[in-house]
Amino acid sequence: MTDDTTTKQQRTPLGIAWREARAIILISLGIMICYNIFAAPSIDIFDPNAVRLAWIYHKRDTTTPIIDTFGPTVTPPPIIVDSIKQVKTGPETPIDSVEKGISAAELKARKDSIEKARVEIKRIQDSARKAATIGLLDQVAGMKEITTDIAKKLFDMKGAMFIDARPEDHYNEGHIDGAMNVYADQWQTSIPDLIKIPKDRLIVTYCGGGDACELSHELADHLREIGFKKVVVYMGGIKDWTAKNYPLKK
Amino acid sequence: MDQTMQRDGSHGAAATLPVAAPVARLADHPAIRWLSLAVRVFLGITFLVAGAEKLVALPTFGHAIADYQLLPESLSNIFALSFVWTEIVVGVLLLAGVAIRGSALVTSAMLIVFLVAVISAIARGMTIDCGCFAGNSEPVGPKKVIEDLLLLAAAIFLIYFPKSYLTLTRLLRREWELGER
Repeated sequence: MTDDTTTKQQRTPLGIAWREARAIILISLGIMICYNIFAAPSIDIFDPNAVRLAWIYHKRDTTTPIIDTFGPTVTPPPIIVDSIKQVKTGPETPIDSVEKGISAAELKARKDSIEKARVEIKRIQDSARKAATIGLLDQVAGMKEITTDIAKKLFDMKGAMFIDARPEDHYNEGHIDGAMNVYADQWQTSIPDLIKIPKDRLIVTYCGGGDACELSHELADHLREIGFKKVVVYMGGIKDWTAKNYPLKK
Repeated sequence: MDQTMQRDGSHGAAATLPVAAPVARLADHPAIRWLSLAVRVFLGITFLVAGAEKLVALPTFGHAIADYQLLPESLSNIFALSFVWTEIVVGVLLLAGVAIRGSALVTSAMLIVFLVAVISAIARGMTIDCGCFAGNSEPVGPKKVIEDLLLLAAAIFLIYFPKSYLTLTRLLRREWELGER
């Protein structure tokens, strides 16, 4: 009797639906895990400190200049903090040392310690900059279009390849410093130059800026077609770049 | 042939199982079958497109989930990833007409989660992107609630009326039966 009731419950529309739903959820989770393992770039979903996971955390960084964000996790050890204070106040002069009765050997040891601290600070700052750069690149890789602020950050940290999609004469009149010229309507002629760029390099295309400027979007589409994985369009283009007095080259 | 499996592969619950007779008769009506097909295709396309768009822009969807402030940020990524793939799988299954009831139930569950999230965001006075479609950003609001309620009604309809034309299961079964002869 109980078995009969159970069977009836399993055969109701909701019972059948529930049985199928369990299978669907399992299949979805299986695909999700395979995608996460095999699809590039993989996302480390269980490690909250992993860079891959940072697509959530980097959102906060957009409010502050990324280049100056050394991150809350980078805390120098106490010995370095002490040394930083010494660096800021300057090493003691021999006269100070004599006045305080510090020996030459101790003074040399302190100088060495300060030098070590300088090297360590530089290493920490470099690694923090690198982490911030990776974070920004990950963040930008998920976008199709970027603003002037992000373009400038990428420019400053040399994190992307800028490509000017306008005709050569416009390019010669002024372009973002270091940008390469690939006129979108004749992009095939630049293929020999384009194939030299690594396919996973972040590419920023731009043109004149404003609604009338479609060349950057056209070029971005062409670049994606030939295998570039990270292509974004800088919407403001040369118009906004010039308006902000950012570096131009003629 | 298994009596619980009908030619359309929907287990025939409405016809042979302890469901009220009027509902069973209604489920076999051609008009209901066409309606079921239309609802299935509409829901399937909606979820498949929504899932595919979000998969392309996963970080954006992850941020949208974090914006609701309902989950710890550390869970936003795993939630985004699993949600997106579930949407894609149910979208494909609904379009193919396989496991319609199960897909409709999962769809209903996801829509209830959406509804709870959107209503809670409205109640907290938040003006955030709903995260429904990656390419088409829309703020949360009463319009979203109505849309989700309509989709939920459609999904519940499919749980009780899964029989429809043009299902992959039905096509395969017909092929199999022809081969037996």
